[in-house]
Amino acid sequence: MSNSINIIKAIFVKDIINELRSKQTFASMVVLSIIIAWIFRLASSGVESAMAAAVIMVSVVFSSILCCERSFVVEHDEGCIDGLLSASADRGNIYIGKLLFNVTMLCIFDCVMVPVVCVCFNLTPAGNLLKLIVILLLVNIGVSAVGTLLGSIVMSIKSRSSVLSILIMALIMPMMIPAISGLLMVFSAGADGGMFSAGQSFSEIAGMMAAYDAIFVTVCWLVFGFTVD
Amino acid sequence: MRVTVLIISFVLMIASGVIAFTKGAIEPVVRNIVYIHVPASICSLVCFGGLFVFSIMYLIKKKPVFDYLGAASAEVAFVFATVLNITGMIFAKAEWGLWWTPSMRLISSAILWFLAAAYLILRSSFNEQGNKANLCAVFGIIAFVDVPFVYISARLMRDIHRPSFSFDSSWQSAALGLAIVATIMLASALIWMRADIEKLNKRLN
Repeated sequence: MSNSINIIKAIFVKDIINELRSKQTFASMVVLSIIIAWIFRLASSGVESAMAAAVIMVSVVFSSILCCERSFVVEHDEGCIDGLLSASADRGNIYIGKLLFNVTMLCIFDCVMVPVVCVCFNLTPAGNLLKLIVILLLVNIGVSAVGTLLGSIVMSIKSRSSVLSILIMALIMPMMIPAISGLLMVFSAGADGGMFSAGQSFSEIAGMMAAYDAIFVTVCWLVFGFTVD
Repeated sequence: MRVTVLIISFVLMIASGVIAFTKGAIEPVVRNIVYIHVPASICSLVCFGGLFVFSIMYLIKKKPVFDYLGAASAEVAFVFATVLNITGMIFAKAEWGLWWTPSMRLISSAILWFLAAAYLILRSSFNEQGNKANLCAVFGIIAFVDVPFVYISARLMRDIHRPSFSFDSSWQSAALGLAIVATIMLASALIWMRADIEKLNKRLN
């Protein structure tokens, strides 16, 4: 058990140090999200909670694609993946280490992106801050769980960026529906949002997202070994 | 054998069509699309199930035949998901005046199509064989795990889709039943043939 924790910690710390040195991925994620928020703001007329929810989700999805692709491409291009695999580390532990790194990156990214979106769309989610944090955390875990596995699947493909974006977007659709519904609740203070049916409680939405996260983390952890061996 | 299955499926399809257009016709006429739409919907789910089973079998047994069958299932699932969405859109335009609207079942069937398309794009992206079969099998498994979530999460949306079709006569039920059986047989024959073509392709290369 302690050996597994040590391996996970070593991979996580290595990736964090690598990112702190280059700052390449995080900078791209932040700039991309600001551009997305700005473009959507041009198309809106002021306070639009529905559009803000869409901007947050689009930013998280595109940034997660950058993050998950980079986390394995670096290993593949520099030949480090062979070192990782020959170090007799359990494949599942490599997956968990990478997953933790991607979730951490997305959480830090959210801390920058959400205030930018709130400023752009004149929103104040202060009363529902806890709900907002819960939704973003669940989205980050779900997107990273799928993205980390898919990142390892596409690392040997030449046109990996385009393939990865298609694969991630197709798989996280079920997560996006409750996430946007929850964000609409947060930004419109519990009011029902357009195409979503009324009567859904926040705990039901969070429960659905938590179930998605739990199942996908488990399934991806189980099958990860097949993608790198 | 597969030719026999194909012939039987065509005979059943013709029988279903004859019943549907004589004793089992539904009014207004656009609603007769149900005889194509419902079998295509069931068949695309069955093919997704096939992709899941063959992917697991490949990862366990490592026999190339399961990889071919998985790829063939995904292709056939894509074809039926396309038919499902197109017939659904025609029906939606005639009944509700819209080609598409975000509702539970429409989103579910669109995501089925996206997943099948994503699998085929992934499969065609590999330049060399290498780990291709393994990676595609892994994606096939998580794509199938995604399907129940599509249905559960889509419950959050307002639904204008008909919950189920109520038939006036047993002829209509018989026509639909025959169409479903015929389509599943057609899908099986297509998967079989496509897997054989994939095997021959591999031998040629």
